[in-house]
Amino acid sequence: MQTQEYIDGVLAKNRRIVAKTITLIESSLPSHQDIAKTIVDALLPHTGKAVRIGITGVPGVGKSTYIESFGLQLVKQSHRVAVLAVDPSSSKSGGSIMGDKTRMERLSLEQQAFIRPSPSGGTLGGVTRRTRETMIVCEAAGFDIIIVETVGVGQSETTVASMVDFFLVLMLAGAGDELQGIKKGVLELADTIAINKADGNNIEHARKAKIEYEKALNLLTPSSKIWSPPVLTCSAVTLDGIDEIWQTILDHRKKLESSGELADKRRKQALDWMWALVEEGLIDRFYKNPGVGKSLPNIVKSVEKGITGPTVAAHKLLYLHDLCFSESDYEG
Amino acid sequence: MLIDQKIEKFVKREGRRPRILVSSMGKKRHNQDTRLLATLFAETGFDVDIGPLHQTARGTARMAIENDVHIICFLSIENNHKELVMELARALKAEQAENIRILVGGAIPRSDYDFIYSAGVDQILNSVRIDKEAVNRLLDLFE
Repeated sequence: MQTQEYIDGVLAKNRRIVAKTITLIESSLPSHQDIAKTIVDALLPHTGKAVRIGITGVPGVGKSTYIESFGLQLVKQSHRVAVLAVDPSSSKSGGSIMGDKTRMERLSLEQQAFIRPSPSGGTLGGVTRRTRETMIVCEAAGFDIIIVETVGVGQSETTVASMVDFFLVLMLAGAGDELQGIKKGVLELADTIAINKADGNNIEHARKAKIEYEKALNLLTPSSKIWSPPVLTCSAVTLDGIDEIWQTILDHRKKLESSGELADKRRKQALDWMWALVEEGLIDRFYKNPGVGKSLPNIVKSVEKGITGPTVAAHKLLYLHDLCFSESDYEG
Repeated sequence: MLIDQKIEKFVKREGRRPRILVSSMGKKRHNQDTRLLATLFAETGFDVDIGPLHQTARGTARMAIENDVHIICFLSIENNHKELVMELARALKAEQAENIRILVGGAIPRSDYDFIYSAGVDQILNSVRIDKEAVNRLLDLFE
């Protein structure tokens, strides 16, 4: 397919071509990435209006089921919803299992929805570039709500929070140990905390948890002047509270728009995007550098055996990279 | 060639790992076998998508296209593989996605082989499990 066919196909909302374009973005081949860059550039003017929502939570909190209920409700209100989910790849085999759609049975059949799980691929930071560009493709294809789902472990939530307008953190009500095991960092990122599975016998627990989280949030300095993150309860099964969260998102959006914070946020996102690309590019160049490539196995072995110290080895590798700098970086 | 080498070659050519959708079509619950199959593929180095239970052929085709997989794999549990294969092939063709390969597993009588091969299936597994040899043959489809 020609580059122009991809661009036209995405703008014409062709599901297969949107999917193929995302594949190009995710590809590790430089030739694919070049085409992807041209496509994303051409699509950029058609984007910027969608509501970008990040959703995180520990495994088992019910993210997928929540997105199923939430997404269906949005579709009912004639929104077009794209769901992007990043699944961690196994570092041993490199393979991955993407099972989100098993819990998005009905949403995955909606004409107004597009759900694309992606393997993290084990590349450091790679998720950043690909998810941002995938968001652009979905927006250009007319999806006005983009949901990025991330597993609440490791670095991914910080990355995702830096590319969305609204960050929703799902939590579970436990038996009195609500605040254990939650990183302060995640609470700081949240624009709203929702206690999920607030149904049946769990309603009372959820209410208690809500109070605990409100107390915890009060101790934090809010990151925005016009928004203090509320704590809500919801159930993806009974659908209680799902609409309240959507209203909160809309309210947040309105406040952000009128205060000018949304424009600031988008500017900051553009900068974050640039720096993420620079960092990824540097790492990529390092590994592709012929000077580094030649000596890397020996240096690694030597550190493993304890012959060379880690600091000396790192210094040496960076020196080798600088030496071969011109050859590797300007050949293409 | 070993599976690892074949996958490495695949990644170098395609820019990503082979991606397979393991679909559960039909009314019965056969979650166990499907999940085991998915795990085996992931351990071999595939990116594996798992479809929802009771997926229809059309739903499977749509998910395969949306996730842009190379292969669809499903198990024949209710002896309705002939219908499923035909429906699936038709659904893929309607979306111009007939290049997606189809792998069918389960207890399939030899006498049905010709039929389902000509309906568009690329490979048949003789059981609900997959072994190294079968993975190897599957990857050969892309050589």
